[in-house]
Amino acid sequence: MQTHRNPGSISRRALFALGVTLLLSVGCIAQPRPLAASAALSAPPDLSFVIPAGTASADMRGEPAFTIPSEIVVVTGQSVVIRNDDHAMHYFAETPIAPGQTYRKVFGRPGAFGYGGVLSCSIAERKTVTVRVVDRLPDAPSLAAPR
Amino acid sequence: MHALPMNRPGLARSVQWLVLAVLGGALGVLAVAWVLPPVRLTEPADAPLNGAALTPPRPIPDLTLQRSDGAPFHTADLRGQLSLVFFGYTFCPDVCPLTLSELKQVRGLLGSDADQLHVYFVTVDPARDTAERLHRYVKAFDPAFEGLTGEPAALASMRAAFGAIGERRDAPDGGPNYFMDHTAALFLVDTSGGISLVYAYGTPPGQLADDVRQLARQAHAAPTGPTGRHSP
Repeated sequence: MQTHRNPGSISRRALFALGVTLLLSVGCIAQPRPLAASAALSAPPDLSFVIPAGTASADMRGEPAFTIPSEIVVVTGQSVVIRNDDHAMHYFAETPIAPGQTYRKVFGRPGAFGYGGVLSCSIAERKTVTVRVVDRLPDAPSLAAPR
Repeated sequence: MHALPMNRPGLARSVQWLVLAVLGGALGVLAVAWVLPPVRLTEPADAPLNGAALTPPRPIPDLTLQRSDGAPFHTADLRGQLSLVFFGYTFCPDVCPLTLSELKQVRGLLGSDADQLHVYFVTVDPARDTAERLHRYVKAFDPAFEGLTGEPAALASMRAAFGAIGERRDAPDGGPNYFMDHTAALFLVDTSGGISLVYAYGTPPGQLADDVRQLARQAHAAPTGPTGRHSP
């Protein structure tokens, strides 16, 4: 079978192919979402605590109103956030958190991190806190829940 | 199939060659793009800082101490630079020498950026840490380190400003020697002169150096603005 083709014409198929190729080229070169942005999107939610007003006074009366768990479990990349709404300074992991301040620590690497009471010339009497950083939380969600 | 009519066959052939050339060029671009890393249209986000961030940064009141070389030190001197402040004493058996050794490593890791970081060792034991002893002690680790001492009241105010603690603990045998229980964390004072990051004892020098580099870069980019990305 003989196909008739006008030698003096431009195929629309060729134009279409040209357009598609150009679009592919542009799409291949320009990747607008950097890796960091996609990682940020998948960052686990903060594990947050709030030290309520009156905590120090309650402690002095022997009525503890707030305590941080002695062991905290977070997943890699998760932040522990502590906001001090009290009128006194509170310490977490040797970090002084002044009234109105917020503490934030991103735990980016797996492992167990112990704070306080482990050094001969540090504040040995202070409570020890261990932060365990795991790749994924066990199924029981209560491990990481604030008390 | 419809075709665009062309009156001149020679011209039509030229246009067809042109289309083919553009197609070939585009395919070439595709091949190059496949090989080369992608072009970033936005700047990569900074990595989260390794220290524990305090927001807002804690301001430091105006205090005057004494440098170990005898010159006065004003806390206002901390503004406009990145500083790591540590509270310790020269008789410390473990935490202080280890920390100063690691800070020496931090400066080594920073290489040509080491001058961006200032290190201050504030004594919690002025009774035994004379200026001369303090000077010899800190300079033995790194000539760039600064030892700070002063009147006991001024030093107590300095500790209070940072939320640091230094308390005497007598030796168990009742002898004349004693220990000082003290905060083992490192405090980072940012260019605004506020305490914005705290590093637990044992933070690897590489993590400290990474943070200093990032903060120095940010301070350079926005010299009057806040430093550090404190949230992920």
